[in-house]
Amino acid sequence: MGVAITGMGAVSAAGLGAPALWESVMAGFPLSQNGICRLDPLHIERIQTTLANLGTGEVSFFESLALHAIYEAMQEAGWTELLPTDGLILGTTTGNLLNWETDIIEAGRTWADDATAFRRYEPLGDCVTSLRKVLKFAGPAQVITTACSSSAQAMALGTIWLKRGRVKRCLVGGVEVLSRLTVEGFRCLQLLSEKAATPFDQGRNGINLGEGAAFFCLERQASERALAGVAGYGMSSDAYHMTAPHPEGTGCYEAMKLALQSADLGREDISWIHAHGTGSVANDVSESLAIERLFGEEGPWVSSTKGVHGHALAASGALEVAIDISALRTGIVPRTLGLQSPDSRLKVRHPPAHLREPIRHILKNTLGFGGTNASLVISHPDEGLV
Amino acid sequence: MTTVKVMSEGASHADSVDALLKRPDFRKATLNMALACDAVRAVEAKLGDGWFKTRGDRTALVLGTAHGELEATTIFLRGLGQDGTARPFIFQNSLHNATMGFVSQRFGLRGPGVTVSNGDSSGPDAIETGLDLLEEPTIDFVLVVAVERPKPNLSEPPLAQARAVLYAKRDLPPDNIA
Repeated sequence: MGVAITGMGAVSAAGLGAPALWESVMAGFPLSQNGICRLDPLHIERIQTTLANLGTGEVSFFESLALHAIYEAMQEAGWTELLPTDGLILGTTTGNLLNWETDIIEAGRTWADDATAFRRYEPLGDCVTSLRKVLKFAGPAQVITTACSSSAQAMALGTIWLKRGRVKRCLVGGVEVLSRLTVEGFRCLQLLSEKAATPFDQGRNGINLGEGAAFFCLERQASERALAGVAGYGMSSDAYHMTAPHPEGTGCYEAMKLALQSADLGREDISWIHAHGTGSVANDVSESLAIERLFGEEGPWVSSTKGVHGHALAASGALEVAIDISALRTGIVPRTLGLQSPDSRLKVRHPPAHLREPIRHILKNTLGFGGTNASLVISHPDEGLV
Repeated sequence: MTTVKVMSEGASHADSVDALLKRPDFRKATLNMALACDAVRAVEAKLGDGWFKTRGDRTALVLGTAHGELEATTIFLRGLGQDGTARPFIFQNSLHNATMGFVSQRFGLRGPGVTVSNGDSSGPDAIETGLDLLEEPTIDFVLVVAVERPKPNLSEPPLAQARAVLYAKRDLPPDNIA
């Protein structure tokens, strides 16, 4: 038995709102410039205006993205406020780093300096403290910071909280803001492509980075209002390398297997695997081998949407679940943007175009640094799993 | 609700990891990584060498930390500011979950790995998350590690330390534990 998703909100380089993200995926244009997918300044201005009108007071860029996505999700779910019996779980890797990294880079401060911005913004836990204040929320809250699996783990843990009865409703999601640390870090690992990323293509050149936020309202008993359901989840660790995934995808395989088991579904029930698909060779090979091992060569469609919106790290799982819900609504499996000559080593089925067909269950994969893997089964609300 | 028992506990502090940090396999490790590994080693010492390796698939790892790898983060950023250099291993060490990845690798822990960060509540939150995971049918053990290297100006003298606790389902068949 899973839980219902009754509201969703998203902000990304594609624009404001979950529909904008889906429209960009359907339009099939990369949002990256020199390999980076940033929010449009006009959209940032609109976010600030919206939040000012809502009386949130001064908030950081990180908080503004989170709040915009949260309010959108709550409005769709019909939640007018958060109650002490509700929960909040967010995933992020760098939190408010954008607000203090300049102190270190340009002013040459050290971690021992007690600069105001540093003190105010450095602790990751404060990300959720500030959101609690704005949302006037007194219930349990958690920050998950498990690299690129963070928001998928947040959704899995939110589902667990609901199943165990720890909370009555749960707001879950992820936020990632591009920072110098992130961009220069991926560049020095030689993973960053200045061109549009083309996951699974033999001519791929690396990943694009993105930013944004996505949040979801989860409820235990709300099948009549469900947009979709979180039917299952699986989490695992590679125990192999600090940055590279296991070359045979053993951890990814385990996470997918556990997710199907948790959803009580068979391999044949999955219509689409929304791959982590960053566009790095290591990811493509590892994830594809895991998929082939679990599903065989004639498994479900496999595609990645990161060539459109970039890799939003901790927020990527949540942003891509927002895409999954739109796919379930429209019955369209998106193709992988820029995939022209699939890498012949990858024995998975790539949709040749956006395909219109009934979608019942989607498997969403995330793989993170530190060897963390999380897979979610996102199901059509008519499936009766919620 | 699953009832649980504590199988083993371990702790470490900055003074006890000097030798560890000089070992070649810890050459690129942060202090947090050394502290966490030392605490987990103490947990394993009470159970037997290689105990985790044979139970890694059924063991979840939850790490709680408020400031994470703050020192690595600032070293990376200062390198960018001073001469534009960006060093890959410092970047990979700058993530809050770097320590969790390092511990899972060294002890062969292949179950769920989660890092939580919630200020002073990071440790208790890690325990709570661990106990949630222990209720999953595929998990028999949860190793919870709390590790912190406080900023020097916030704690005088700075007290870097780690603590690890291994929880198990109380009703596990003896074969699973032994």
